[in-house]
Amino acid sequence: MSLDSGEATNREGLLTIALRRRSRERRQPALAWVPVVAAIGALGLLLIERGFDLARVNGDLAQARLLLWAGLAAMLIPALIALVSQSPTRGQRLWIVGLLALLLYSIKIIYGPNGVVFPDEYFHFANAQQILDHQHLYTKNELLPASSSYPGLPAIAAAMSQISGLKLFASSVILIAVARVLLLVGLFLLFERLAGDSRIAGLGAVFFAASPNFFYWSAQFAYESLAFPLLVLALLAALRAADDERVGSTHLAAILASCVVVTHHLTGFALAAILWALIVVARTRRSSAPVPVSLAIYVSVAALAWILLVATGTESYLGGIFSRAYHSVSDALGNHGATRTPFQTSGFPTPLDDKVLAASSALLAVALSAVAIVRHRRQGADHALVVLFDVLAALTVVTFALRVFPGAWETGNRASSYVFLGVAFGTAGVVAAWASGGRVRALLAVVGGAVTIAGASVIGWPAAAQLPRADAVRVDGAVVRSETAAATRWLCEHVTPSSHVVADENVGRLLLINGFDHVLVGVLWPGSDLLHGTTFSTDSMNYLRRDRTNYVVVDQRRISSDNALGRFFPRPSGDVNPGTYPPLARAKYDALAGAQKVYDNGNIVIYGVNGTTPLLRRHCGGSL
Amino acid sequence: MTRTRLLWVAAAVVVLNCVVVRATDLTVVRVAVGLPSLLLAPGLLVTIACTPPRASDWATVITFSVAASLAVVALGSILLDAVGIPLGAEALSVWVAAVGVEALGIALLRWRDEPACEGPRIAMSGGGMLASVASIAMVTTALAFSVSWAHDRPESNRVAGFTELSVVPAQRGAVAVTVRSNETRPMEYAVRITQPPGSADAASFALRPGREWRGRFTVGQAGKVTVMLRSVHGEVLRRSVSIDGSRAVQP
Repeated sequence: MSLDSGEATNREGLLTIALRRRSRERRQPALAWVPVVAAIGALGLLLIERGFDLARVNGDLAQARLLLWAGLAAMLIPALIALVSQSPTRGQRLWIVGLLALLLYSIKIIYGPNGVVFPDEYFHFANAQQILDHQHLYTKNELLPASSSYPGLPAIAAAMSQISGLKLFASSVILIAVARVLLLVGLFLLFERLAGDSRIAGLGAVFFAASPNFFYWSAQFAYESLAFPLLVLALLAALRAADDERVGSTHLAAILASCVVVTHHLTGFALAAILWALIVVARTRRSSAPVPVSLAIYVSVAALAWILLVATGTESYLGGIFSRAYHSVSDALGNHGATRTPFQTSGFPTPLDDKVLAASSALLAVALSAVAIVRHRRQGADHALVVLFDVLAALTVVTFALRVFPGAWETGNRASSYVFLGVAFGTAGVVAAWASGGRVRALLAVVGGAVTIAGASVIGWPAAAQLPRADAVRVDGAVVRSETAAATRWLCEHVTPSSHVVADENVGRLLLINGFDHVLVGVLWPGSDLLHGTTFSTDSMNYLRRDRTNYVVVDQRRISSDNALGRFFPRPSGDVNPGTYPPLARAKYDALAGAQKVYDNGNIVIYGVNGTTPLLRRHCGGSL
Repeated sequence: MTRTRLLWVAAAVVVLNCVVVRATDLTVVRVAVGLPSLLLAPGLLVTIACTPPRASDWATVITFSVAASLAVVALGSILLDAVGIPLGAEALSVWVAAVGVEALGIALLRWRDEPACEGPRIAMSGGGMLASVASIAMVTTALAFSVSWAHDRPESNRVAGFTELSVVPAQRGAVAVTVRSNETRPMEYAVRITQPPGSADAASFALRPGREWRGRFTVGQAGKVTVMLRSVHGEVLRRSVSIDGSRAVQP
């Protein structure tokens, strides 16, 4: 089936066309597309690094942003020119897609080259560290309990570290780099199977980077970052299994699906849902199912069994997220709930050009998806996966709309990876057909593609966190750490890791990756009361006494509640969450019987409570 | 390379890894053997055992191989953990080797009637291969330079400095006071210790950025000991910490 030419739609036809095309491609002279894309992309990476350096020393942030966009353009534009062009061979397109995956992930690597920096990474890194320390799985993680029940990602990272001798952080970076390349190359192969055209496949894989989560969120060392690429490959293996009468291909799909199930809860259920949707769509169209029914049954049973037998408690975690989303939307629609202003991060305004870029990206994605859906219907594209992709693409508007509801923002954000499977495939078909009409069109397609992808990075990540910050600087030959890092280091040096500590989002995360097992952060009940309340409520006092809390770390800055930015030095020229909590939030501990103020760095004070005094312990690890 | 030879090479890598894990701690060797044996070889064997020969091109085989390798390691870790085997390097490498050898056996048996065929081919000329290797080299070199630059702590005087003060009990009725300067310039400090009924200037000193001062003071057992820190030249800097005198008496 070739969607852009309306050719024969049976599978044999598809394979024949693809083979002929490949044969034709091999006869074409090899152009130096790959090294050109690599060379300019590498220069782009260096530009971005210069921009990040400027941002870390709080230099000219406008110039730093300019360097970021210039570097991104250097990565995207040559790749898009090559992929829009008719001349590269299939192999060259594959290399370009793989290189681009590596280049785009490199941005995250240089964002935080010294250790984990993104909010969710701490949980999973701590899980992997625990596996290394204790040599068994399912260790306790009080900050994100569901994460330790899905050990796929940390188990692999820990195995890599143990067998190769690399540090855990290096192993985690390599693992996510592999996952990113797998994702884009897997999408290439999946789209190629559907469209029978490597040009559409290459464009589709790259357009997937226009998913708002792609740049930063999905580059985290987090379970979804690995599970989603495996989902794509399990889907591809399932499609192949349906074409192949021998049972082995189903086995391969089942192995990959099993890994998805033990790696991430939602992705496991999403895979089961996609497989069933494909079967239902095929049945309603009276055609043979494109995936084996046995595989759909297996994935469904495995995902359910895992959550019921191993990952108990995950259902309440997921239920909470969906319940918040539902209530937020229903309250807002009923005119008695709040809505969220787009492009606002804790009072930090997104620059106007970023807003324009993001809005253009969203509009282009929605508009091109609509065109693709109409086009597919006109062409009579009846492959169940194409129909499913069209349904997903149609839901793009919904995921963007959910972002204006405070409690539904997370759901909309998480769903965007799935709906962009449809957006990427549909958009690639539209662009490939349209850009074939001349050089001007091709140029417009390249610019539009770059805007869509770059703009997505603004939608999916807070503006204030687009550029990195320093958590340590060199002054007069010595290393000076941020207040958060300094307080955490003091705790690591003086307090046993079995201590119960109440801390803000940032100190709590740093303690977690330094081996502290019992940490309560502000976002969890009754952490907010304990850290920011001006008096002790009955609940918080009960918690302090009953749970034998040993230390409370009180940061008076409001930015301490920001889990993406709070651990770094603040920007001198205005920042997110300016200001401080009421002085009584801290002073209430001065009046608490038995509390001892053992550490003070100005903004952060550590109290020993319940008669605890610090014990000299050890030197903390390399993460501080 | 024929498919059969490729299978044997992959199996040799996973078996060799078991030896390397036991024999050496050299990271270079362990990375060179360990990463392929975790990220490529077992999946390659599983993929070829599962899918018919000639059905896949090189890109598909390699992509599935990497993904299946990750699955082998993740599922193996879960299995080993379930039967109570600690997840050490040796156990994991033996698991990977066992799966690899089993997949090799299945592949050899399963496809024994298929005509001998080439393994997945990289449809690329020598020049194309060179260009691809050069491309990877360019990207990794740029990444290495970027990481190296980014890894250095930046020089900066634009951050707001601060000073840490802490107190912990020391032995024999004493407290240990630590002052650490995270200021961006040299500072002079004075420490004053108060314990009812009296108070006294305990120390004054200068610290350069990043340096630390430690003092040890004998205190009485009764009453709260408060340590106050101020900067000498009138800058706005006040820190105080406190500790029960009785807690300072440690064995």
